[in-house]
Parts: sequence; structure tokens; C-alpha cells
Amino acid sequence: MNTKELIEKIKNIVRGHSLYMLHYCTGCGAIELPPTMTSRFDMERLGIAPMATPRQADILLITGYLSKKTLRRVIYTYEQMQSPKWVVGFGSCTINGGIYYDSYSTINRLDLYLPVDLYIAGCMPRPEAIINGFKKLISMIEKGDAKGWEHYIENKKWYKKNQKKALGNSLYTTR
Amino acid sequence: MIIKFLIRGLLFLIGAFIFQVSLSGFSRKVVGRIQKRYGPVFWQNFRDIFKFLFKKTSISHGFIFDFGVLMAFGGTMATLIFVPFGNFAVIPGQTNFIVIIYLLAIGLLGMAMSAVGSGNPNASIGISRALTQMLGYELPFLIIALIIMFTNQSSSLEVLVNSQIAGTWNLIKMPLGAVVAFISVMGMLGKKPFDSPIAPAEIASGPLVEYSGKYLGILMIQHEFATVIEVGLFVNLFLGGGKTILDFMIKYIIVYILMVIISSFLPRFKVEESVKFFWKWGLSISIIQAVITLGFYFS
Amino acid sequence: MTFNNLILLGSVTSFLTYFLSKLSYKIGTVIKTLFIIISMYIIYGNFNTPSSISINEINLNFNVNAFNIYFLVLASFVFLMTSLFSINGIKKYKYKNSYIFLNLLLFTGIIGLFGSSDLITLFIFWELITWVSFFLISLKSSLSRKAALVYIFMSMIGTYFLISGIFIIQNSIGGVSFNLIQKNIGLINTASANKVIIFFVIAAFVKGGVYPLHTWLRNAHGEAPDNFSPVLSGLLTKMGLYLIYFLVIFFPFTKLISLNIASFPFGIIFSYIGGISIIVGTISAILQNDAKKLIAFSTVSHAGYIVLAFSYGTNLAFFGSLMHILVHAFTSLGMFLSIAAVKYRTNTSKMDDLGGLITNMPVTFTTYLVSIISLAGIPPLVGFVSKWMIYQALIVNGSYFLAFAAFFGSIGSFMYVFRPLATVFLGQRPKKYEKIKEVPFLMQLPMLIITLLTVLLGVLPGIIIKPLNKLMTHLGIDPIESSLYKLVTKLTTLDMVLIFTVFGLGFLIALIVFLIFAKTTKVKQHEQYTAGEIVPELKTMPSMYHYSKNYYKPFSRIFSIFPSLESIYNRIAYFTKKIFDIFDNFFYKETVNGYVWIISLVFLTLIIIRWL
Repeated sequence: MNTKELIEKIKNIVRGHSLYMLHYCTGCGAIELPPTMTSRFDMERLGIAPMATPRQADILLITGYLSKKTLRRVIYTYEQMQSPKWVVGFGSCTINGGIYYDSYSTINRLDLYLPVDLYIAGCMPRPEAIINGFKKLISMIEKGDAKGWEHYIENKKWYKKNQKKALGNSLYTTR
Repeated sequence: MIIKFLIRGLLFLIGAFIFQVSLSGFSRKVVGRIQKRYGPVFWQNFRDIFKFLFKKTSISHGFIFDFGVLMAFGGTMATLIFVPFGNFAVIPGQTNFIVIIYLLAIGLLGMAMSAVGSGNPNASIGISRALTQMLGYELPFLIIALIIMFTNQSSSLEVLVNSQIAGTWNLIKMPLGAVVAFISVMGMLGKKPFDSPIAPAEIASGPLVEYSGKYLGILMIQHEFATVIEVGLFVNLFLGGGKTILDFMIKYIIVYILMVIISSFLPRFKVEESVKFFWKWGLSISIIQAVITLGFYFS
Repeated sequence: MTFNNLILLGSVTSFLTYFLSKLSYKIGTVIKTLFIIISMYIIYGNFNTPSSISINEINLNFNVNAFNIYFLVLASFVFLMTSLFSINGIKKYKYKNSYIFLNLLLFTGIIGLFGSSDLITLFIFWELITWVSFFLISLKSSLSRKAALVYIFMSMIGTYFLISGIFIIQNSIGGVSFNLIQKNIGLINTASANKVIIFFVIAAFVKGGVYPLHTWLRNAHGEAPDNFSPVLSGLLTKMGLYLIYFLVIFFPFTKLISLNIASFPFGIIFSYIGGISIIVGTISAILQNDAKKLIAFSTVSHAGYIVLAFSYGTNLAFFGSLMHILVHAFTSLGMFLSIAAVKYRTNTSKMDDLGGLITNMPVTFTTYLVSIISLAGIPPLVGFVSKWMIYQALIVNGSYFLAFAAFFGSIGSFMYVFRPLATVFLGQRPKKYEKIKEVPFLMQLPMLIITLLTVLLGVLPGIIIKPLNKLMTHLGIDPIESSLYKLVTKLTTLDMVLIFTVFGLGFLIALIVFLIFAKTTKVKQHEQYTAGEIVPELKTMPSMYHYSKNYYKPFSRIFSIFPSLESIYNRIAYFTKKIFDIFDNFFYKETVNGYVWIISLVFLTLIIIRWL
């Protein structure tokens, strides 16, 4: 392969092994994150550490159900992150609505509003499952298969249409 | 002549970069072992720095935002040229202590200007805390350094190192001063319990709040260089520098790992508490040390 | 043209500009600037030629020798910069004619003071300057009138001490001319010499603003007209410190301030007073909320530096204090002119209401930034040279308290000068200041000149060291070693060009590393991290998110019970007023009957005395 591809491969390897996740805990799945970060199921050996602001972070974790009010803020936060960035959906609520599938204020499929790279199923997934999921994400990034952020830029109109349909045409208000 | 100094300077910078970044990665493993876990590999900090530099987009808030970061990075690299490392000094004869202390202030000023220039109030709060704390930790350190410079009648670091190699270390001659300087260097590095300017949970990482991508990478490299300068100053002033580069590296590693171990189990001071701590204990112990040493010197 | 004719020409021209500026104020200011340039030329031509003015039997004698010329050139330079600035800067003042007239008269007075060769001439011009600056300060508002009253009262204390000292000298030596005093210095005995020193130093401390006689500085400098503050702070305080330098001419250097003096140890006491002044000035400056009052307190702390270095006794410290006069004049000019430029465009100088003006006024920002870097003493600017000399002098002798005070001033100054930078020039810009422009070119010119000189004299300090060495040999003090760009002392040698080059190369490497990686995108001012919340006020009311009030609140909590010297002075004044109120109530009655009573009492007394 020529030099450009070689450099991109090296960059992907470096990116894969040093992921900073945004410490933004949305739903009830966030309770499984502290055990994963602390001494028993140490997440730092994979190179993953929590960071405070979206501008400094690479991964956005959607842990659990996502109400519409939170969806507005999550979209705003996602657009403040710098590429390349990845979204990981935790728990069954992001896949098909989970146990809140018939609620009036939560969303059922995260994939329509944000480009998700990896789903981790479970209600809630245990720390072993989370670490398993992150290892899969790391191998995807190294191979160059995790291209959610490019998909968002190319199909922005489709995503915005879905978001407006769910939130009622008011994306950036405080309601 | 100039080319020779340029090449020496560049080699020194690259060498210091590799040494310090692997050492700080190793210190993450040490902290991990203290907390009964494995910790990352020791080259993890290289991965972090290069991941930030390889980001595809970054945000800039204007001219002063970029210029301040460059001033901080350039100033810290310029200061590093003046620190002797064992028996290797980039420009022999130009290793003045007061110049180093003042050029460090350019690094802080550059970062302060660029952080406040982003317009985020969290950054302003962090910078006001950092400046307040600087008034605390600089004063005891400078009194002790003054006594050392007076008893040796020179303010050049090479002369101080040589006089310690010929005699005894300053750690043994003035133990109280060495303890005060150790705590002051912990304040300079921003380690717990003096990390109130960064404070991730209170003010969203303070000055670093609006940095992204390659700015964060550059600031991380700048922080590593600043660590080399400050811990290097402590080793040169109190532990007799080093006869060779390897000797210096061993002493440096011991001092740095000791600082990391002490800061890994302490909570955080409030800003006015840390200033009061430095003024109450730091200044009184350093003045007692000054009186004792001057008494020995004049008699 | 000789020096005395210059003084007369100055007075006449100032009256002339008062009437000419009634046509247009620009004529007055341009004539003032041209006069200052011409007078700089005349001063150089009059080197070592004495001259005098005779009015009835009073002679005013002038002479320009190697000692005065440094102060004269500095005074002319400061006045020239403020004159250039005020060609446009006084557009919004109420009393333009009086301002121009009084300013030119003040310049004449300062030239006369620094060029005098006789103590009575010095005293006459001292009083002239005090009264003219009193009127100048009170030109702005009612608050400044009150501040000017405090200023004139404390100056009067100094003046009475000064004239008493001059009378003692006249009695002991028999004359007041400088040449006479220098020849007959042996005639004065120790007790009178001690009295003279104490009186002169009290007069100098009042004018210079050294603790504990500094309480007038805050309000007088803070409320003075903006174009006049740099002159007040950079020059009129030096007037007082100039008087201290005279003690070197009167009493031989070694006898007065050597550290092992057998009689009263003046040197040690004055240097400790200087050290305390540094610490008090710095702490009070950190706690201020108004930009001009902050810089006024920094004047207190720098006057402390000059007194500390001067009284220390070694030739290195003496040189450091001489150089610090120049450094303080430059930095004071830079800071006050920037704040005056901001006030010209926005009509306010309160730090809480401003913000984010760097995109509108870049030249002003650069001047302020370079001035504060020089004030904090960071190489390779000129502020580093004087501070470095003072530190070397203190370290060679091992005085740890004075070195602690000097370091405290330098590090604390970093805190208080950063505050106007962060709150006025950086941060969130309020909506009403979005469209203001940079100040006109004639106001930018002095700011650019000062920035350039600060950098130039820092990299090549030999330009200033050579004339100062000549001055020190004229006074009988050993000169220090000097070369164009090296600073040499007993402890070590520094190469300023090397530091500048290394810093430049470091910046270049940083720029290369920055440009290799991906490009950045620029965002607008209202796109900030807000913890995910959507905040519409960032666009409509950005000043709500600008952190400027109580910038150093944690630090001010440490000093919440700080004893204040001003309240002690206020209580003494109140107590004195209460005592003399008895006489007041006796003589000034409220009704006519009271006056009738007093007049009849006086007549009765006269009748009794005359006929009995």
C-alpha cells in the first residue's frame, strides 16, 4: 500500500488504543460505569479514561433510555465533539426501546438520530460485557470500520429530518 | 557554532520528551498498583499525545487563542534549553537560576492568555485560582534558593552542581529547606493536594475546558516539558545534579515517583487554604532554615 | 538659547496656548508638542552652562550636568508621549483650554525643578508643580476634587519639612547653592545632618508615595483625568525620589548609607521601609476593583523598590534603582495609555462592564501586554534588567527578608496586572461594544513607540548602561561593568541576545509543530461548553457569562480583617477637628445676637485696656 494508507493505518492503531469517553451519564445504565472504571474491572488498561468536556472526548456513551428532553442536549453535545468520534449504545433501550417501548417521552431506536457504531445489549450489561464490547470497538477502529461520524456528515439531512420528527421541529430550545 | 548548539538543543528536547513521557506513563502504572489494579502499559502517554495530534478537526477561538498556546509551548522549550541535565548542558555557561524561574512564567502567562481568550468563564476561574496559588508556592522556594545561591556566591546552576559533587549534597546540609522545596515543586506541578486550578469535577477542568484536538496534544507536551524543568531544578539544587546523565536520570526517577505516590492518596485543598498553608508552614520553616544556615555561614 | 530663557519662554507659551486653544484645541496641543520637542534639543545644547533668572533680589539658578540630564530627558520623553496622545485624547474633556495651559506650565515647572542648581530654586519649583498638579487633578469631577484636596494637604506636610531642612542647611553651611554645599560639607555637625536627612526623606516619601505616607495615591491617581495619569504616576512621584538622590551629593555616599555606620543606621531602616512598601502595595493592588486604582497601588510598590535598592548601599543596587526609575516610567506610560484609549472609545474604565475588546483594539492590547510582561520582570524585556540587578545585589549580601519582599512584589504583580487583561481585553464582549473601532493613529503612535523601546532596551541594555555609568562616576560611585548586550555581575554573566534568540527559536519550533497537523475551524464567541445545556443568553446577553466581578475573591478572604492605614489617618483628622470645633463654636454663631455679643465684648476689652 502507498504512504497515505500506511499513515492512516498507523493513525487508526494509535486512535484505537487511547479512547477518552465523555462522562455523560444519561439513563439508569450509568450505574454500571463506576465498577468498570475502578479497581476490580479496570478499564484503564485498555487506554480508556473519562474526560470532562465534549471537546476533549472521543466516545459518547448513551447508557440506557433516552428521553426527548435529553435527546436535544445529547445532539448538541455530539455536535460539539471533534472528529473522529464514536457513539456506543448501551442497553436494550437504545436498540428497540427496552422496557419503556410504549412510553410517550422516550425514543425507541437510537440509530435514527445519531450514528451508532456499536450496541451492547443487556439490561443492564455487566462490566464484563462492557469490556467485551469495548474490545470489539477497539478492533473495529484499528481495522478502519468504525465510520459513524462520516455517515453523519454525509446523510445529515436524513438525520435532521428524523430528529425534527421526534422533537417537534424545535431542536435548540430549552424546553 | 550556532549549528552545533542547535543540534544539541534539538537532541536534548527529543531525549527529554521520550524520557519524561515514558516516565509519566510508568507512573500511571504505579498509581494503578497502589489502587490494586493493573494500570495501562507504560507507553500509554505516547498514544494519548499522538491521538490528540492526529485528530481531524479542532476548534479555535481567535488569534490570541492560538498565539497563547504557541507562546506557552515555545517559552517552555526555551526554558528547557537552560537546564543542565547531569553533565550535559546545551550551552555551557548559560544556566542561570533566575532566568529559568522567570522564563517559566512565560509559559504560565501564555496559557493563561489563551485560556481566558476562549471566552468561557470556567477557564477564567481556573486561571484566577492558578495565579493565586502561584503566589503561595513560589515564595518559600525562592527563599531557600536564595540561601543556596548566597552560600555558594553564584547563581549559575552548573556551579551549584559542581560544588555539591565536590562536597556534600544540599539535602544533607539543609534538610528542612529540601522538604519545603519538595512540597513547593509539588505545587508547581499541579499535583494533588494542589490541583485546584484543574479540578475536573468543580470547574470542568478549568483552563483546559475549550481545548480540543491538536491544542490538547501541544499542551500535554508542554506540561511534560515543564515537569522536566521543575523536577530537574529540584534535583540540581538539592541532590547534586549528576556526574553523568544516567546518574541524573536515576535521581530524577526516584524524586518523581515519590511525588506521584504522595499525591495519589491525598484530597484537594481549597485555593485560600493552600495559600495559607504555604505562608504559614512553608515560610516559617524556610525562615528558620535561613537563620540556621546563615548562622553557620557567618561563624 | 539658554536654559533660563527656555523657562521664561515656557511660561509665556503656556499663557499663549490658553488663548489660542479657544479657537481650536488642536492648535494648542500641537504647539505644546512642538515646544516639548524644541526644549529637548535646547536641553542637550545647554550641557554644563549655568544660567539664572533674577527677579528683584531673588536669583533662580539653573545648570545641566551629568546628573540632571538623565531625569530631564526622561521627563521630556514622558511628556512628549502624553502630548502626542492628547492631541486626540482630550476631545471629550470639559475644560480643554485649562488642561493644555496647565499641562505646559507643569512641563516648564518640571524642567525647572530637575535643572535647578540651588535649593531655593528647587523649592520654588516644587511648590509650583504641587499647585499646578492640584488644579490639573481636580479638572475631572467632584470626586477628583476631593482627592486633590487630600493630595495637597499631604504635600503641604512634606513641603514644610523640606523648607525646615533647607533652613538648617543655610544655618550650618551659609548658603544653599549645590556647589557651595558640596565644598563645605564638613561644616555641618552630625545632629543637624541627621535632622536634614530625616526631613528630606519625609518630604520625598510623601511625594513619592512610599508607605506609610501613600494614602493619597489611590484616589488622586485613580480619579485624575486619563491623559494626565501617566505623567502623575510616572514622573511626579520621581520628583520626590529625586530629592533622595540629592542626599548622595550632600553627604558622601559611604558615610550616609553604608551598612556598618556608627551613627544612626539610616540605610537599614529605609530599605526595610521600602520592603514593607512593596508588600503592602502589592497586596492592596490585588484587592482593587478599578483599573486605575490598581495601577496607582502598583506605583506604591515600585516606589518601594526604588527606595529599597537605593538605601541598600552597594553600587549594583544603586544602578538597579536608577534603572528602575526608567522602567517604571515606561510601564506606567504603557498601562495608563492603554486604559485611556479604552476609555476614549467606551466611556468607562470599570473592569466589570467591559470585556472581549481584543478583536476591536489590537494595538492597545499589544501595548498593555508588553507593558505588563515588562512590569513582572520577565526577560528579554527592559523590566528584567533592573529587577535582575536588584536581586543580584540582595543575593550577594544574603539579606533574606529584603529578597523575599522583592520576589513578593514581582510574583504578586503577575496577579494584579493579569486582571485588567482578562476582564477588559479577553472574555465575552458585551453587545453594545461590538462596533467600536481602534483609536486614531496619533494615539497609537506613542503606544507603538513605547512597545518598541521596551523590547529594544531589553535586548540591548548597554544603550542605557553607558549613560548611567557616566552618571555614577560623576557622583563618585564605582561604575558597573557593561557591554552592549551582556549583563555582568560578581555572581554570573547573562547574554540578553542569546535569551531572545533561544526564545525566538522555541517559538519557531512550536509554530512548525502546530502547522504540521490538521487545520482548525474558527468558531464564534457564543459557542462555548455549557455542560450540554442550551443557553440562549450567550447570544443575547453575553456579559452575563463574563467572569470579572470578584476575580480574586479567595485571596481577599485571607485579608478580610486587614488593618488599614487610611482609617487611622481619618480618625486622627476627625479627632483634631473635634478639638478645634470648640473654638469654631465660640466664634461662629448662628444668629445676629451672637455677633453683637462678641463685638460688645471686644469693645469692652479695648475700653478696659485703654483707660485702665
